[in-house]
This record gives sequence, structure tokens and C-alpha cells, in this order.
Amino acid sequence: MKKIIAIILGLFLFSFYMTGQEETPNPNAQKSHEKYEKQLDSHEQNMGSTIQNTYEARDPWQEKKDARIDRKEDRRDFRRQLRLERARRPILIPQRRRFFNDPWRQPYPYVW
Amino acid sequence: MKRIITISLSFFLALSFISCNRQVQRIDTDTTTDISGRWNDTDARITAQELISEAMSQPWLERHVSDTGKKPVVICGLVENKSHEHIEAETFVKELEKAFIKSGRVRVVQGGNMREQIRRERADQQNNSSVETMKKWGLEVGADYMLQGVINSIVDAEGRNKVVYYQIDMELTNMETNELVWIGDKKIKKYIKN
Repeated sequence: MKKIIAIILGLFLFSFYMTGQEETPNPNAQKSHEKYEKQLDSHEQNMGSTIQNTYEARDPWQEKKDARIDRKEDRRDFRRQLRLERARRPILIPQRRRFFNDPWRQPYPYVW
Repeated sequence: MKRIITISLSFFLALSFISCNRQVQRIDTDTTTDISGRWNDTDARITAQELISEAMSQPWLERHVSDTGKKPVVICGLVENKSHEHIEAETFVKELEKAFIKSGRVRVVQGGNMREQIRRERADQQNNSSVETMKKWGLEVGADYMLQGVINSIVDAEGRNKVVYYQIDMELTNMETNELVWIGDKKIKKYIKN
């Protein structure tokens, strides 16, 4: 009889010990679950990807170099635009004189 | 006549060599190459090597196995690039995932767009595949840990000299308890002279 009581007591104590090991979930956890369940679609897009929040680092030497390249490109674009405009409207934008001595080889319109 | 043909042929041959200025040379992917000083494949490779050796040697793995008796399941989350350059973290995160799978000690589950694609295919199977071969819903393996990371950089430049410092931090977080179980990092410093 004593043995049975001891076993029952042992089992009771063990079950008490086991329940003590488990964490009690927060009773408000459902609210949080509902909140995050609404955001599932946006979450899927970000998984396993890299978000690029880059900043621009200051490098004066590189900036100077880039500015020089930009100016060169601007000048080239301007010359190209001028050539196109001359081709489109030859009378309004005079051509540069290239053949000074030969009046027959002057670009149209003749500008002296 | 023969002489003329030989001369003209050699001339055209020489011309063809001159016109091909571009040279392509295949090199080993483990070769260290630094051209512009920006983030490159060498940086990605050494970052991956460092993170793999750190992740596999830290006690989180043994602890998980001893606590649960199962292999940990990892999912790759978001990596935020807060540096000054465009860096795609997938280049070294994939290496880390590959090392996990190859070791056989960590299980990896699919996430993001690829998981979406798999789910769409499974949905398609419900209508088009035979009943014996169609895959069931609700049997996916839930991840125990999520891998996340941040990439930061510091730039110091004066005249033609520049020092760039990158810091890559990767973290593993327990999905249930929110506990950080592993933080791995790789620091890279470069001195660039223009």
C-alpha cells in the first residue's frame, strides 16, 4: 500500500515539475498574432533579400574627377546639339568659316 | 604574284590582330582581384568563409541538438545594406546556406519569392497532378532560427588616398523565444591610393 502511495506521489510531483518547466503563454498573444497576420504579404517580399539603404560617401578627389568628366560630356552634348540645330536651321545659326580663300567652298549661308 | 598574295595575306592577318584589342582571360574564382577598390567577389568570398567557420564552430548548434534532439532548421531573412555601395548579400548568404546543408548538421528551409513559387506549384498540383503524386498542404518544416544581417561601411578620404571599412554582421535568432543564439561578423579594411 505504501509503495502505491509513494508511486502516485512521485508521479504527481513529476507532473508538477514538468508543468513548472513550461512557459505560460501571454494571454494577449492572440492580439499580436492578428496584427502580424495582416502583414504576411509584405513580409514574403523581403525574405531572403537585401534591402539597399545605401548612403553617398564624400570623396572630394573622386567628386572633382566626376565633375570634370561631366563637364566634358556637357561640352560634347552642346556641340552635338549645335550641329543638329545648324543642320535644321542653317539661316538662323551661321556656319563657321572654314575655307577663307575659296568663295565657292563656303558653307551655306555665306557668312564673311 | 606569290609574293603579292603573301604580303596581302600577312597584311590582313596583322590588321585582324590589331582590330582585336580586347583580351579575355579566364582566371580561377579563388584569385584575389582588386581593380577599383570597391566591394568585389573577393570580399564576398572571404566574408562567406569567415561566416561559415564561425557559424559551424559556435555552441548554438550543439545546444539546440542537446535541448531538442533534432537538427536546427534555419530560414534566411532580411539583410540590410547600410553601406555606401551596392552590395548583394545573396552572394555570401547562399554560401552560408550551402555550408549548412553540406555539413548535414543544419537544415535549411526556403523563404521569400522561391517559397511563393513552390506554393503556387503545389496549388497547381491540386488540380493537375494525379492524386497519388500531388503534394499535401500544411506539411512544411517550420524554421527554428532566422538568419538576418546588416552591412555597414565607413569611408575616410583625403586627396588621392582613401580608407574603406566594411563590417558585415549576421545573426541567428530563435523564432520562438526571440533569443539571439549566434552573431557572426566579418570586418574588411582597404587602403586605396588613386
